Amino acid sequence: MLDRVYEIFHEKMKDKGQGMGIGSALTSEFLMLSFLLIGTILVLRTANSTILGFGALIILAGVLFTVPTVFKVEKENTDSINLSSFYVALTLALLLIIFLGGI
Amino acid sequence: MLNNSTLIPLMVVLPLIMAILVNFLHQKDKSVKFISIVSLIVFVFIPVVTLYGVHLFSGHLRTGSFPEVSKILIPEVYMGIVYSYGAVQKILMVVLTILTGFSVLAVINKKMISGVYMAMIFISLAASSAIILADDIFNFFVFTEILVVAQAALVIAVQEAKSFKAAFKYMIFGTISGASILLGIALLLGSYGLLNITDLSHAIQAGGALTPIGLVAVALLTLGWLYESGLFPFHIIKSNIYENARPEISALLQVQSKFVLVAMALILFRVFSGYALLKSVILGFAIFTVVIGSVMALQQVELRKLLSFVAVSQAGLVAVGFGLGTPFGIAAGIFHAINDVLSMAILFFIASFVYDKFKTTKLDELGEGLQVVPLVGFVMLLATLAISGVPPFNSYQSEWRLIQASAQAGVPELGILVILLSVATFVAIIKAFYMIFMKPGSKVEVNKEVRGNLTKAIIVILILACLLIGLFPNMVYDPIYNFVVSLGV
Repeated sequence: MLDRVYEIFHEKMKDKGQGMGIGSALTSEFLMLSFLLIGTILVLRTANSTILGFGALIILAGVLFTVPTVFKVEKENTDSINLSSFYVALTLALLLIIFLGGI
Repeated sequence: MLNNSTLIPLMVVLPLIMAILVNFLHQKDKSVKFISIVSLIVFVFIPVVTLYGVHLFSGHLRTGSFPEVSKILIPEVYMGIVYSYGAVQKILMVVLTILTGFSVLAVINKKMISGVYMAMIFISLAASSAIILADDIFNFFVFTEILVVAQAALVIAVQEAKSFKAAFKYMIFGTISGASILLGIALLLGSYGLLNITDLSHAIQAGGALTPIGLVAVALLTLGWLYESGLFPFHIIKSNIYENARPEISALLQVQSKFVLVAMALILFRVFSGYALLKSVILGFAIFTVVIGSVMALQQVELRKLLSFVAVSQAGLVAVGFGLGTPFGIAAGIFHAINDVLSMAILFFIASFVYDKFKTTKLDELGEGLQVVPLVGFVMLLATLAISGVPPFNSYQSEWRLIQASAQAGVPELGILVILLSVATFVAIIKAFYMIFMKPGSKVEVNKEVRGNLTKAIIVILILACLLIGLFPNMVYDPIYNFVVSLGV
């Protein structure tokens, strides 16, 4: 998948303009992958939890097999009130689980 | 320490009085303009001359220790509100009042004088000041609610359908966050019988490990903090607000949000100082916001939206400093908040100028701007370097300290993250710079009547301030570091 990422971007961004648009989308894709890689290394190195370590590796593997990720990120980051409410509810649940469960 | 300093509450009370006054004088433009300018001079003057100290509103007695925490009951609640004014508060207040002044001058210069509009700006200033000064968690909550309403009103004043939608969503999530903070405070009040932050901190430390009720309070207050700061999952709501306000007001809104982030994070750290998991959670949300914010900024083709996401991702970077949890990291985070608001304000004022001059901020329609306004283009280039952490500007000093703090805290990976964010920020804004000022083939007409001398003066002053802090960082950083060490968080 990674070897033909430019073609995928070119195809996906036909409607969004050429040149700089594709360039910045590619930059954000590589940044996203770098952030994920660093995040996984951080979790594996610092978290004293096998579950978290496995979780981080599975997420990283899943993301690497589904590049390009930026379009999915963009799709999830709209100002839709439904999506925002979902993420707020998810965050509150996550906070309660982390603090009360003490992960 | 100077006890009961009478000048401290004036930082909150005066903007409130002036807000009521200009509201009454609505449609009397000359009076509103005169009062606004005089008030702003006074607002900037008060934090500069006020000595460090505390103000006790009703003779609150400070309590040193709580040996019998479990016996503290509601009837024994200490209700006296306390405002505390130290080095960090002074720096934040000076920056806040100066940037509010610039925003108000830009509004007046555009002949958008309205008593109600000015009143909302003054109320937001009063609320932000109270949030920075408050040593009482309920007083803090009241002013966060006032701030949300005032900010939403400033966005609604744009009078476009999308600004109404943005303000409406901001208010909806404001109710969720407000309820969350209030419930958190109620749980703490029920458990410890205290609202004063210093007392609460002592009581929680004396009480040992947090009870499940205390842990729920931490979760609820953290959710409230995420909203007030514009961190994930509220980053879209916050960036929407920045995008849909007038750019010169966005410059003010981002300052308020970042300073509320700092003030509330300090409160959380003081109250739950012994709770290590809180720092890890803050770090996780901060990293997520940095990543999402910078990735989204790179995708944008509209200047205001792009800057909004950059502002959100930079807020994430401030939170990274807090997430590190060491005095060095927290001080670096606060220092970055101050540096970042200055650089972001320049970029929002430039967006305001571009909007007035070219009647659009859509990047694909703009171009060849350097031939029309070379000074603004040059300052935008410098501001891009400043916000990306390029020496000799101010953000270089704070980002460098954040990287050092990451290494000291045993997580050098975060240093790489800071560098990656700098690269992403640079790429995103330099793309905007190229498309506005250098790209051949502009599709817009230039409004020759707009000279923007005031905006040009403001951006030059701000870039000089960035350079000054970059060259002499210790005059700002040292008081912050000493203050953080003295808090013992």
